[in-house]
Amino acid sequence: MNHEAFSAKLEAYVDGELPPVEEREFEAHARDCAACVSALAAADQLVERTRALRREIQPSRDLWPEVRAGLGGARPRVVLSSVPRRRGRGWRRRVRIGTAAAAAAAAAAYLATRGPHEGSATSPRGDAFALVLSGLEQECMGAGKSLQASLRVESSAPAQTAAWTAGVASGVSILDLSIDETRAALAAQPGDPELQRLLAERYRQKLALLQTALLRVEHT
Amino acid sequence: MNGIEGRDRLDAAHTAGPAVPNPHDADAAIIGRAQQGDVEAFETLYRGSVGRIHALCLRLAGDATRAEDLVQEVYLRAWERLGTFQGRSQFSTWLYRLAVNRATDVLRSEIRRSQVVVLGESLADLVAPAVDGPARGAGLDLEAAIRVLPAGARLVFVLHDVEGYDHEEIATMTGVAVGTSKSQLYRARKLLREHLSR
Repeated sequence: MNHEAFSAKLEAYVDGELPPVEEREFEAHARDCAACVSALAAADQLVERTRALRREIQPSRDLWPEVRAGLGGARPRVVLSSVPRRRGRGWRRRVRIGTAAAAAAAAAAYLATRGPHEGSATSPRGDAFALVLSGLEQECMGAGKSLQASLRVESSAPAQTAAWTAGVASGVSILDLSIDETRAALAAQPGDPELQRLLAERYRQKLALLQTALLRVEHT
Repeated sequence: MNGIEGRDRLDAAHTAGPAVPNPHDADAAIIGRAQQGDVEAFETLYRGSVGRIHALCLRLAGDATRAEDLVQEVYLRAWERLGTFQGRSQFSTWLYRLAVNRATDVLRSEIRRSQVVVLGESLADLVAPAVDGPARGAGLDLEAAIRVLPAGARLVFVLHDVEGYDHEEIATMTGVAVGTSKSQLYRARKLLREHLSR
């Protein structure tokens, strides 16, 4: 074996991939050649030092408060076949096949199930925009749940109310689609001020729609 | 010398090592609570794993600020996707995959650029002023030397030699060919050996 062959087989030797015969030739050459002994020692040293690397390195500061802030009030998404996708299209399909009461229930369910963090456009560092957005998401979710609760009380609502509720849910679903698309665009262009403004505006429109609907249901 | 074959695979480390609690075996209930939206349970998972996830992110990202950003992103994604964790693998393994995938996404363009091997390159030549690491000639230790490796070489070295993944797994996780993974590993080792031999 010469230097070139030794060098070519060094990595395979380090990884224990040389066949036994070649491994013996490799080691025999290393014993007789000062330069190759040195190369092998360097490889050995790297292996040992790599093994000695720390398994854990704590961050220089506690990152949990920022992680916690990024979680908002969202719950982890549970992927179950019984849970419909939280998209307007799915909601409309459910309404189309249902009765007026079922439509109201489906609309109410849609309004309540849409939670925050439907995308990942917000900064994990808890900057001002992320905080504003998180607040709007929370308000929207709260309003959606309140509306759902009110509609549940009004479960004997006439078809006219059901149709009206369906209209509200349809409007919200369109806004949700726009929110998703804006979030996707923001993920591609993080920090874009126009996209941030648009996203916040969509949330405000959604919140206004939900709050208006809630007022109407509560005063019907 | 036995090489690094079989070194410290994450699963084995969690089975045998006392350093990190094994959430899969010991804390299945905590995972279940976190999946139901219990933030305190999620914090327990975070506290038990952040040291290892941060070590991985620090080595992959190459600087402390990016590593901390990555850690936060990993846990936010973990929270969002916790409902998809079905216990088929260890929680720590699932979290690690999430971290590797996220780091690979973030570093993708840098990795692509760094795959061009420059003849005669050395780590000292690769230490740029903007890099968060020791200055040239300051006696880099291995940890610091890893951080200034070219991104592609660093990624493969950390995943293969430090974390114990094989080339097929690395290819699957990062989208590079097995041959590219091997050549980047050899490049990283060569640079590191030359540096440590000085």
